[in-house]
Amino acid sequence: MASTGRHRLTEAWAETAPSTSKVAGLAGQPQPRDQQTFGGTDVPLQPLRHNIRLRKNVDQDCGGRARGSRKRQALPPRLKRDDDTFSTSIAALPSDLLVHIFGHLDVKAHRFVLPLVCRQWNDLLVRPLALWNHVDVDFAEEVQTGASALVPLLQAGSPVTQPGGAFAIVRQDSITRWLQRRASAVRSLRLRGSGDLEGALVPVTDRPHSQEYVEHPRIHDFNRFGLATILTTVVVSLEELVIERCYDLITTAAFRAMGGCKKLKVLSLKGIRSMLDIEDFEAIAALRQLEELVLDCDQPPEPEPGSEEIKWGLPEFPEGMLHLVNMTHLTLSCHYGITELPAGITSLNRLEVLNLDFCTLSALPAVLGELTALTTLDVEGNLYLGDSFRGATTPIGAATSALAAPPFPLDLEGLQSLRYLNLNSCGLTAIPSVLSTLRNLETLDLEDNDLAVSLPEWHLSSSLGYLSRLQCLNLAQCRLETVPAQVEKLSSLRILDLTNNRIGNEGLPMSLARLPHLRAIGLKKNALTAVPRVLGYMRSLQEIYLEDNADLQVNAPLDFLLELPNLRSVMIGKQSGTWSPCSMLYMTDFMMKLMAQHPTKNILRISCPGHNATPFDEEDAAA
Amino acid sequence: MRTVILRSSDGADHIVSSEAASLSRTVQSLLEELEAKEGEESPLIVPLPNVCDCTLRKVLQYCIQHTEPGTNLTGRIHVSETRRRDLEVWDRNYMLVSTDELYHLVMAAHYLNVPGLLELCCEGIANLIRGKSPQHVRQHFGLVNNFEKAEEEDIRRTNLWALVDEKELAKK
Repeated sequence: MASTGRHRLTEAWAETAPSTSKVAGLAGQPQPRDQQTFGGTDVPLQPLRHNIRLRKNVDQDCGGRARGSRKRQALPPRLKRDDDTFSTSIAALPSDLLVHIFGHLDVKAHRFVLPLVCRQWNDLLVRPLALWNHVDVDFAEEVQTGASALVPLLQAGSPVTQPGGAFAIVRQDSITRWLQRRASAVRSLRLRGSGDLEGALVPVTDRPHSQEYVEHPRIHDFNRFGLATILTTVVVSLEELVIERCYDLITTAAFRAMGGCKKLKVLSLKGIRSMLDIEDFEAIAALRQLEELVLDCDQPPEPEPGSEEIKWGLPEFPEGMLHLVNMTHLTLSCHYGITELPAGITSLNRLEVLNLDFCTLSALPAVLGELTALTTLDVEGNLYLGDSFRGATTPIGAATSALAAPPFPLDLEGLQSLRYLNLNSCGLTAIPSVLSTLRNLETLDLEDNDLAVSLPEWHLSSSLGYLSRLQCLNLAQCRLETVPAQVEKLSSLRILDLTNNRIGNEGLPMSLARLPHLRAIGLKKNALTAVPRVLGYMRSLQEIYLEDNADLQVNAPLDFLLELPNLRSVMIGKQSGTWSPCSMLYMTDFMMKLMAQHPTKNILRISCPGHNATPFDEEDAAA
Repeated sequence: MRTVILRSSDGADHIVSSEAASLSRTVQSLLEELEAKEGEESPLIVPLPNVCDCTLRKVLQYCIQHTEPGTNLTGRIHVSETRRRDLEVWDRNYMLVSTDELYHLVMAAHYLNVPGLLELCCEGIANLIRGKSPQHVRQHFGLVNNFEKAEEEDIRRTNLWALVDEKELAKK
């Protein structure tokens, strides 16, 4: 391909032959003068003057550059890479091009290398350039950089080679001053604290052999207006603010300052460790441009026995939230005050992601179905949510009697865009029948719900069969003894997780073989006593997990698994209990056959007590 | 496919397909103007007074390579995986030029506004800077340290966000 290009070029070249000779004629003449200018001994001493001359050439007299290249050809190749000619070049590049080049380097270079090269570069780099669109302040990293920057300083004056117990701390005024000059370029600001470093014990570095440890001091000197001060400097341009693990920075003043950043589109506060005030939140509610809001609290500390209810995060779902009508993403994690969602939530009709995990919701609002743009709904860990679904699980036949009318007429039919639904640990006792309307659902997570409450079979799974697009179904830790019958109707299912149930050999019906796309099946920690035959009929199966079934033995050849064309991994083994000699024999046999079939793949993996998930070894088996 | 003539600063003409020439947005807009003025039939001659012959030749190598069948005009979208990898290798070899040539090339790419080439050249120059200390950068590009000692220290400090407590240090 390259040769064609060259060929076409030479053709073009031949056709323009007369003009080339003209060039040669032009270039021949001024060559001596050229050499004088470029090759003169005084040049390296006066780079700036040289520089100006070259820029002039570029702007006005391009012939000069052509002559330059002629000269290069005339000189011996040793001198071709004369750094001097380029030195003037890089300094002569227009500043926008220089910034473009700097853009290919990392932020460490922008802050610690490039400004120290020469005054011109430094003057350029303090301007509000596109380079400063994203500013990332990682406290732990800054502390380290600050301490290592000290090393040459100390070496100059004192014999100490390492900064020993001297710790650098992040300075509020350093950041503010740095941001001030670049403020109008800053679109996104990210602060990443490190709560773990403070108070941690670190070894004294200047005495390498001592076992002494010192407590790491505070890593920043921010007062309660610290974050507010920083935000005020970038208030005009800021569109994205992410604050992680800086719970001590999030103060009333900081909230007010956030409310001032009118262009803010993304606001994400992660790792909050306190109560939040509704009044504080009102400041955020003024940000009408907001598209993404994340208020993510850490798990609260364990309560003292006998103490009162813990208050954590927001005390309620703030009314002000309902004004943020441009929001597409809302995450409120671990707010113990949020027990219900107001009906007014329908005003947030652009919401695509709604994440309310580990709150204390007792019901979903009846109007939830009106949020038609939702693609992701996550209510994991809302332990009391199950009650609100129980009314809705009443079968249609029974609903005809007035007494059985569901107390929460939860209608999810509008959620036709919903792809992901997480009901992990929601206190469910059955698979809610309202789910049957979610025809486009791809992932359903029902882990850790007690689905084994003795109810008739139709009650347990009547809704599942309609989810024809479902690809991942998580039924781990649901105390199931059999796989719900309707699972076999999920024709798109790819992953089925049944880990940590009580499924015995009868619990896995033959009808599961009808799932044409099933790729992975998780049967870890169940009550299986033999490898289920049905696995051999699941043609698409790639991964089988059978670990920690304490009573599992292999009492028949495993040849039926050899038929699976895409099998990649079989995990089998147990932490407690032993294998019978017969099992060992059949597994060795299976392994030999697998090796004959796929010599390059290591499919069977066995973990025994003491040998955690090691590849099955022939010698082990023989012994 | 229509051909156009690109005339360098020193008067050398290069005949290329308008497709290849249009990778340069500067040329593309000039072509559109010319076409509107002169009509479809007359030969299109685009004078490029800021690019010398030898650099233009190198730029056109790039343009032709990147408009080979299988590439579309806007760049590398819809290009097959193998073709993309071939181009990457070609680009790497294409960048094996002297720093001097690289400078001329980046100026030309900037003036002609060839986005892909500009990125390639900028990455090339950035690679020369990457991993070097300020002294090494100065040495490599022959720049002169025109800072006062105190000024240099000051710049270093203003770019640090975490500083060591001086009082604590004095105690040690």
